[in-house]
Amino acid sequence: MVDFDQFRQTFFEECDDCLSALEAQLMEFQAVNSDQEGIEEAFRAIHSIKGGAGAFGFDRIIAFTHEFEALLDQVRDGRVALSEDVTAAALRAFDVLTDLITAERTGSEPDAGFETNAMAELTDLLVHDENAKTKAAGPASQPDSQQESGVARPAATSLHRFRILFRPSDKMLRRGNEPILLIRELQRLGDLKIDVDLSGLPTLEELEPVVCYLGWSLELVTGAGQSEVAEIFEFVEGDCDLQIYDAGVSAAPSQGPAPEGEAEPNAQTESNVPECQADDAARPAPAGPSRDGEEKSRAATAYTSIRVELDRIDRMVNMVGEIVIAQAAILQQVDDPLAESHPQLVESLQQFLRHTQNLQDSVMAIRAQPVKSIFDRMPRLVRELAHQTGKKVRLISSGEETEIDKTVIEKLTDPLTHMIRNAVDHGVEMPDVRKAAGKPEEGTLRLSASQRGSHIVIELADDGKGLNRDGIRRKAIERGLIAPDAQLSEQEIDNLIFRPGFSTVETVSNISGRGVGMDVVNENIRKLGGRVLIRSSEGEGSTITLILPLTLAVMDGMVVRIGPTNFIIPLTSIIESLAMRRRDTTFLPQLGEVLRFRDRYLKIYDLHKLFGFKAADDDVLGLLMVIETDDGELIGLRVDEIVGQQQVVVKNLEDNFSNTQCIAGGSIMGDGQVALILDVSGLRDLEAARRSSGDDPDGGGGQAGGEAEDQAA
Amino acid sequence: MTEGTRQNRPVTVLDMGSSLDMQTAETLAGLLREALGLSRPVVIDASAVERVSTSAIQLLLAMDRAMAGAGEELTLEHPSGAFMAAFADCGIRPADMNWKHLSESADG
Repeated sequence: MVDFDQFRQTFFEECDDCLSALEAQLMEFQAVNSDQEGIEEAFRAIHSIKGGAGAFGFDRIIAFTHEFEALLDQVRDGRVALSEDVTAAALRAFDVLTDLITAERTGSEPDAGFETNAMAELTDLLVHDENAKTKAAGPASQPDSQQESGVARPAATSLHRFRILFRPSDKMLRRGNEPILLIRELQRLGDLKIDVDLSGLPTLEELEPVVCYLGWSLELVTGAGQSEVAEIFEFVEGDCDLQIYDAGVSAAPSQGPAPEGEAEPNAQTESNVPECQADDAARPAPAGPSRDGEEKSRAATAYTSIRVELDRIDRMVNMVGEIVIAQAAILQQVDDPLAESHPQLVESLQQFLRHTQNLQDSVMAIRAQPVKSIFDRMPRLVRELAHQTGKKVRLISSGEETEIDKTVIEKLTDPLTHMIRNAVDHGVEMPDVRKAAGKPEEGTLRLSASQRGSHIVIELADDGKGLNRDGIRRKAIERGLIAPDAQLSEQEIDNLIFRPGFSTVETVSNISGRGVGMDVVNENIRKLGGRVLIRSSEGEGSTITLILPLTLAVMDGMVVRIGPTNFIIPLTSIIESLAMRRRDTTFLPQLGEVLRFRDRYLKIYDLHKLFGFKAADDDVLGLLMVIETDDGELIGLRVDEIVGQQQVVVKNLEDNFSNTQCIAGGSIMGDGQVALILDVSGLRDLEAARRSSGDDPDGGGGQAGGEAEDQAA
Repeated sequence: MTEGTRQNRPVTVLDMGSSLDMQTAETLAGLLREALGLSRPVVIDASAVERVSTSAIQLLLAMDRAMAGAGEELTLEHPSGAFMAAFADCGIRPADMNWKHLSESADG
């Protein structure tokens, strides 16, 4: 069977990379900040997408990228000036192309004519002259015939003649790569003479349809460089024998290929492009002349990265985690007498510790990806939102190279999208309002990422009107989120926007006023072990800050003892810890045991009772950890002892246990004991379940409780 | 695969449909082998073909050789422009084929 899916997936992943590179360059165009290399990079990105689409027969993408590429080609050779119109058309084309690729990826079919306007816009911008005939392809046309496909390439000042020996391996067709489409791509570059070798064709009975038995000897006369010729085959590297020879300058460009005898390869003209063999990586980088350094650059970067399944990396991360645990266990057994008697052993162990730490950092770095992959999606969102709202908005991104765990990155898209929607819809004012306020008509969003210690900080700042605190407070009272006489600081009022279902807009808009956006931000970030902060200044704008852990595989935790067992509380949840006595608490019928804590009541959760441990001393309540739950509520968690702060390797329990309510995972401590990581938000659910089942987790009595019930009566 | 007549002779007519891509290659191979086994003239109706893969071209080449070797007539009927273009782009010239063109391209 042909493994199409795997190669389709690879193509789409590469499309993501290309689109990301393309959009980055288009943004440079927009900022009038582009250089020739940037234009070349944009061209290469679109060319790569076209090449891949050709291999898979994605006709609409092929046709569209053909026009897009033609325009960028004319921009790079100076025939089309990089004007505002060209940039705007290219940005619109980028959006359309992204949708076309998404449609192919998801198996949906865009409406007929979806890309027609954008493509016509590209075509209209092309310079049509004698040397640059450019086909205006229809929306669903495929460049099928030689007549159609051979004319798109403009004549250059000098034409080169390339001889290409191309023989697909057994794998090529199995992997969904189609030689005819590659040949057609070559035809687009210039005049192509095709000689096919049929000698390997077996009988009909012996023929396996998924094996290619043909080989080709091709001669191409083109103004394109060798790298462009080679790029056509970049998706079939490893699936063919390929040799490309530059047979020199063609003296008579319009007269077709030179005589046969001149095409023999020789040491001086042999291509820098390696044959598509598995051992390519072992070859030295080519040292021959290159076109604008492009080949050198390609050779230098071609083998610097490989794609590895995430599952394999996760297995490695887990194994390194095990090594860290084993090492901690060894170290715990090194007591003073042993250290004195075996100093060499201790020194070696310490060295081992350093190496293990480095190994862990290196492995974690493999999972890390630049936030660029999600930042790059945001300019389009801003453009669309600006268009929908009639506002003028500019997005400036920085720190895109900041790296963060892939799992975290995947879960950042929704929160960032909501933040940007919210900023454009509620933060940035209409142009006339901004002008009247003495601001530029165009609002600015600044999206940045940076690493601070073991955390990644992502900020979105707008220069809009800032939060309307009176409106937020009024709405919070109306919704019963706060009491009418509640005394809240500015920060506390600002934080109300993260409460579930909160929305301050009078008319719910279709952009962000559904009252779910900022709640989703808060919830998602907290689930990632992060925190959300907001700062706002009326008339000057707001800044939302996301503080995220570098990785989900290792967590900073506080180890606490409850009864005989150690538990781990995520450090990011802990506000502070208090020493307290039971007489400091009050029993309220609806809430259970509470503690007055800075003008508010903290609900106290006693894990002795919830988890069925033997109750501790009646009066000495011990320590209370003040914890902030996912939705921002402060609760108190009774513990017996704070063992210490520790970085722990998170182990998933779901593979072996179900229904682990209140438990987010486990970790193996240095002494080999398992400590469970508490899901503090789940405690309320567990307690509520106990209450509803009639199993009173607060014990249903005690002096304090009795007094409270009397008072209530 | 259907039974038909051409010039009052019974023939096997193979309708190529619109797509001769990789996904249909195994089916095409089976169809051609079955038709070859019938030992009578075969007509390939390629009038509706819009897409042709290298795999299909190889199979048709092998069928062409097998039919010639067996002394049976193979006729290509009303090939579409896309069909002819694929053979041309593959570098296959009319002289490479033994089959008989019953008419020119149906669509131009």
